[in-house]
Amino acid sequence: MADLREVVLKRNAGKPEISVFIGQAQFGHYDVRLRTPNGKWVPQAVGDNHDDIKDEFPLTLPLAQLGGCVLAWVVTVVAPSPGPGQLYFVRLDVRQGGDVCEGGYFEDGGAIDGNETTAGAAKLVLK
Amino acid sequence: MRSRVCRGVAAAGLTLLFATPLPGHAEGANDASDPNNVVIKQFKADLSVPKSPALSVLGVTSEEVIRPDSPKALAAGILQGVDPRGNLQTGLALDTTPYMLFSGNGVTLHEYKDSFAVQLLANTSVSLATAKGTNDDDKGTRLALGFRVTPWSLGDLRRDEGLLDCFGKHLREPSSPAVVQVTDELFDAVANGDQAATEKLIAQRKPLLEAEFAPCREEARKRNWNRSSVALGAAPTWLSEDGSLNQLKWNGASFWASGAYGFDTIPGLKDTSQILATVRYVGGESVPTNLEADPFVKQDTLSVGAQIRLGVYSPDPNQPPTFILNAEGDWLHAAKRRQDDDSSYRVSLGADVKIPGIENTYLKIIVGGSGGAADATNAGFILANFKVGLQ
Repeated sequence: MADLREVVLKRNAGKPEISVFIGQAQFGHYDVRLRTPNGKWVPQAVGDNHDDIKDEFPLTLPLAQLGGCVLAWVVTVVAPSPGPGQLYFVRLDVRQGGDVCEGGYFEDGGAIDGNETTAGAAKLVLK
Repeated sequence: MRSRVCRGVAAAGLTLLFATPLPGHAEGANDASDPNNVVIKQFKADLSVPKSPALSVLGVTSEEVIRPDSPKALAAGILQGVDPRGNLQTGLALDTTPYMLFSGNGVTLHEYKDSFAVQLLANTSVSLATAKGTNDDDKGTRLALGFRVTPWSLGDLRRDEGLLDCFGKHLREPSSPAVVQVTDELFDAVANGDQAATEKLIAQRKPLLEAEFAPCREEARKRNWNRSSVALGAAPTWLSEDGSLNQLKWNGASFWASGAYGFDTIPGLKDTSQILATVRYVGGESVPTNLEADPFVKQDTLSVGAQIRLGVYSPDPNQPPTFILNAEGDWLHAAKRRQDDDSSYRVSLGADVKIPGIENTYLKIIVGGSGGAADATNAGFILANFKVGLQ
């Protein structure tokens, strides 16, 4: 088991928000969840980049309760045209007051044939 | 160059063949009475712009096409084509979409759907290929650069709202409980920092999801197979007689233009019918001759082809048509320097008639022939066979 990277949240910088960006003009679906220190999963957002809803959302738990939680995400990218020779790109960031939090930037990308899943997690630290 | 598909006894079901020389044309090319020579000049004209024009023009059929996933990989791929002494390495086959490679990470699906310029750039590909000469007398190395652009397509899957909605639906509510289970396990694995389990679950998830998407893709294929579109291609080529980069000389260029009309707004035809047309011009190409003193001659070739497929009757609009008319033809004109010009044509007319009571099975009848060619390959033919499926 590897240690999770940490995202530093500032106590006085406002409610943390998550932004999911899917590039390479591919279809993307995301599922973001929080695992509390007592091991309970709390869904945060499920959506895709095809609808007209912005792919940005605040974390649902109060800031004071986020310390020690694990933020986890699974993003599924689907190439409308199957076959090799295409690319995918996914970026997820955690922001407070419009600024990306320390350690709060994640990206993944590469070749895609059909569909690709990118998944990650980070421990939230309150300072 | 013509792409001929010789179809004979290998076709599914019973096949009957009758080949007849056309009046005024040489005999001997096809003897249908000889079972070892059941080669009919029934053809399928190549009516599309090749996906990778550079590979196509050099006849490269390598499965090992480099499709770089980063600008660095592109540079590495290009460098593979030249050795440290500046000699071209044969067997290079590279294909990429430069706009998506360099800028695609910042392009969203919405931006693509809303911008014609983005669609144009995203559907413009560049290919590069090298190959050895085509015969023993031709020891040179050829280099081709290819460009392909689709300026307009109603069958663009990135803009198929039905397909995108279907992906979203199957991801929100997968029909297979295994997808939900693997996803939940994946959340546990990533939250625990278990890299091995994460990779294993991601690998498990991919085929499960592709199975979810299979109906979406199949419906999209049915919706889009005949949608109207335009595609253009070009492939300049160079020849180096000694294989070195600094001895590269111009060796002509190929150009393609192809259009499809799918009766997109016409009920009764929009799901069953299509007209395809294509023009190809090859300029300044060195082609082998039979003359010892002059083994190669420069040739310009123009070919024009068209195909019409009309699904003319279907009692149930949700079922394939019961009667389909097909007409196909192409004309080729070759202008050889210091030799006579040569023109030839091929035409065929066919019908697919659904066999009543047998699902998706058709009797296919084709009548056609070719003429004008100076190389004794003119012949007429009648072909009848049974086939399963329409595509």
